[in-house]
Amino acid sequence: MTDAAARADATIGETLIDAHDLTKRFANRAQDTLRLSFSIPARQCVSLLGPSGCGKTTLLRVLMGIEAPTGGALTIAPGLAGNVSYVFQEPRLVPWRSSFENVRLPLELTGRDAERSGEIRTLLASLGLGERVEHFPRELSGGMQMRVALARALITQPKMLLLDEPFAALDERTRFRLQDLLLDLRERLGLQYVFVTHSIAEAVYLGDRVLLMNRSGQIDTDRAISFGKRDQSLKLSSEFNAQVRAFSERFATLERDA
Amino acid sequence: MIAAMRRNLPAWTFLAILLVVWQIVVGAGWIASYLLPAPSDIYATTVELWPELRAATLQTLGSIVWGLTGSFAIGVSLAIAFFSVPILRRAVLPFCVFFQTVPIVAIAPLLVIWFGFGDTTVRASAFIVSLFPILANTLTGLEETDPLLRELFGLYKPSKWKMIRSLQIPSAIPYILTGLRISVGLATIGAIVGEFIAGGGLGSLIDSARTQQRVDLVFAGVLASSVLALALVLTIDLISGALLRRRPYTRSG
Repeated sequence: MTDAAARADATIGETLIDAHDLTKRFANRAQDTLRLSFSIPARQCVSLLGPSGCGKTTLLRVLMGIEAPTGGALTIAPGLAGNVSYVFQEPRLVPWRSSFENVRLPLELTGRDAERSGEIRTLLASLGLGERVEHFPRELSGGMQMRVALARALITQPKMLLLDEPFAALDERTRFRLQDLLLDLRERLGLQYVFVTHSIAEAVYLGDRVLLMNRSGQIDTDRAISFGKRDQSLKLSSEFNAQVRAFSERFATLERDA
Repeated sequence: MIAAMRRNLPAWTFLAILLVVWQIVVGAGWIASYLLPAPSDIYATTVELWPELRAATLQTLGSIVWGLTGSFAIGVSLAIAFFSVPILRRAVLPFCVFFQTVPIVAIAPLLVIWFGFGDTTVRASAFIVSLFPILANTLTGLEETDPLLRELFGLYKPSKWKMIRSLQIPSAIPYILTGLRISVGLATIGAIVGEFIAGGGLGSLIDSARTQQRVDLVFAGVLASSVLALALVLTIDLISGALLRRRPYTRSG
């Protein structure tokens, strides 16, 4: 399915996540970290962009249920609840478990059939880790560790991935490769994601829609992005750069205001 | 290997000088040999009474292994129980400190009254002194898991026991190994003290050598017990090293 078609579908699809006046305030803060409303329809992939400390990660954690909101309403569609996987900023692999065992972890902990070893191997192989199945995290590069973390998030066959700046710590080449991997997973598995990033180009490249947050935890800009086909050459196109420039200017204003 | 030898060279050199000076001082008669036997005399006694020394060492080793195995099994189990049931921990842990603080020499006679003369008392003595370090270290290990990993595991809402089994226990393994390393030395002390009173092994060999004024044999017995303790610590180190090389039980990747 092309991105355009996905967009067209999304506009008529059901709402999967609906946040209405959602607020989050931490006990030790004078101000709300979050104060926003938005909804995400089925199939739409959203980039959450914003200066550091604007509450992007907090929003993602609230969506995952790691943090409880302090006010407002957050509605998760029944079909989606329990079918969401989270990818942390760092791979967060269990050091004493091999790649294989790290991917098996969610199955073991949720008491689902943990004997799907063929499936785990196939998944690891599809992420280019076929040769690293028995390796321990310390024997893997940062990019490989992140791919194991992705496999761990995918093994439960989620409908949605929540990703918290997962590629921020990686070198550029690896980051580009993993961005394309994510687009590919979306294409192949119909996977939907919310992707937190502070890179404007990354947000534009990966999102059907970019939500730009300001330092008060509010949504400053909410814009749909549509490209014909997404691959790295897109980043050289004028339409892509026009989007990036538009967000850059706004982003710079937000950082200045703070 | 060569690097290790080079690093330990000063220690070996010092030992060699010490032995030579000792030999000369005793050989020249400056110190009576019934107070301090010459190294050569100790060596001769060791060779002469090798079968007795060997049997005594093996008997002591047996008691240490018994005591340490008990400490390991009960210490780790208790730590897991304390970790899972906080009220149990608050109720019982203060009394476990007893095992750490009471001088083993003081309760060894009590053990003889309970278990009689022989191996049971010696094993109990080795057990009592070596329990606490394993218990305390395991408990620390269970408590000090990486909060980031705790959060990760929490995403899947596992049962408490599943969480303990797949996160806390593996995280505690390096701590348990450290506890074992401390405990093996203590178990050696506990066994020999037990043997002083309940008989058998190196403890009773040293004690009877003392009553017979065989200072050379006392030295040989002491030497054997040091070598035994050292060998046990090295064995634990080897096992730990092999285990951690096979599977990196560390706090962070």
